[in-house]
Amino acid sequence: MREVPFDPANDDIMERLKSVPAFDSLPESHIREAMRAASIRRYEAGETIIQEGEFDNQVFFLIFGQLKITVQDTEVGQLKRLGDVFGEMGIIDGSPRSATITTEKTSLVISLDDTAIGSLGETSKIFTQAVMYRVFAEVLAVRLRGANQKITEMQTELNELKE
Amino acid sequence: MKEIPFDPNDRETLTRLQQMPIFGAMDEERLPKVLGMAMLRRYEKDETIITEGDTDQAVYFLIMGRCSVSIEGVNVNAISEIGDVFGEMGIIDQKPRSATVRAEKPVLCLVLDSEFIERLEGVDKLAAEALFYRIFSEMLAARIRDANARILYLEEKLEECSMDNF
Repeated sequence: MREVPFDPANDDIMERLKSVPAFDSLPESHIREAMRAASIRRYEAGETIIQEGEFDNQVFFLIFGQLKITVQDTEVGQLKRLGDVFGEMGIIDGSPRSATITTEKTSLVISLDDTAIGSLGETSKIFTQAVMYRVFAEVLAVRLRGANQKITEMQTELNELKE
Repeated sequence: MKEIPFDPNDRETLTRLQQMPIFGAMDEERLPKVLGMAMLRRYEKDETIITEGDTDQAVYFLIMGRCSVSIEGVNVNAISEIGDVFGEMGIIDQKPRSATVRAEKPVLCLVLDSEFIERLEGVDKLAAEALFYRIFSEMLAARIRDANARILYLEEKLEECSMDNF
């Protein structure tokens, strides 16, 4: 893994960031401000980004590549879309990592460190948090809708089996 | 349902609100700006607060009472803690209501419409976004954990049932 600080003058990265669904409604100046605590990481295929059970306080946005999500060595999903967010649960509730994320291909991600956000000035911090938590809420809302739908289907199936 | 504008001089309700993580964390200058846009609503037992499929976009903060959450008639959750937030998903992704919320006993809640953040300006707006979306994220994360536990439980039950049927 190679890590470089986020360079707001890098137009290629900025263009990609602007097309991330969570960021597309934000003025470019807000994105630049919010990314002051960010760094860019490049992983080769087969590297581990997040290890199940560990504690850290980083959240990641996928720029390109393909990632595999595993829980207790069982694959539970993949991430490959620009702007896919992962690792946010640790920042939200301080819980240990619930899954392992490894790269299937060379991947580029943006990482935001909660500690680094805390060391920004008050206004930058508010900027970053406003953007970050908005993205989290959007991601989590989609997940909760999916989970609730699944509960409804399973409960209905169970009720039918019991009849 | 009875609705009245929130009265910032209502010390009793204000004190209750300040016990909630979201309003307790807001600084003294911003709190009246946000609460000045809020309404208080009282629902009687069995009244429907949110109807699945509707496209209204208000967010609710429970002050008193207990609500049930159901999808297609199946009970999926309950809202019973002071400060519990519900209806926030409409603000987050502007989709139709994914569930019905009903008062299980008399309910008192604070209501903000989805545009309230847009009506704030500058740092006030960003600070409100940072705070509200953080609380929304925490609520959603807790609900996802509950939902995942429920899914595991249902998986086990379904497996037991299919075994019984052999």
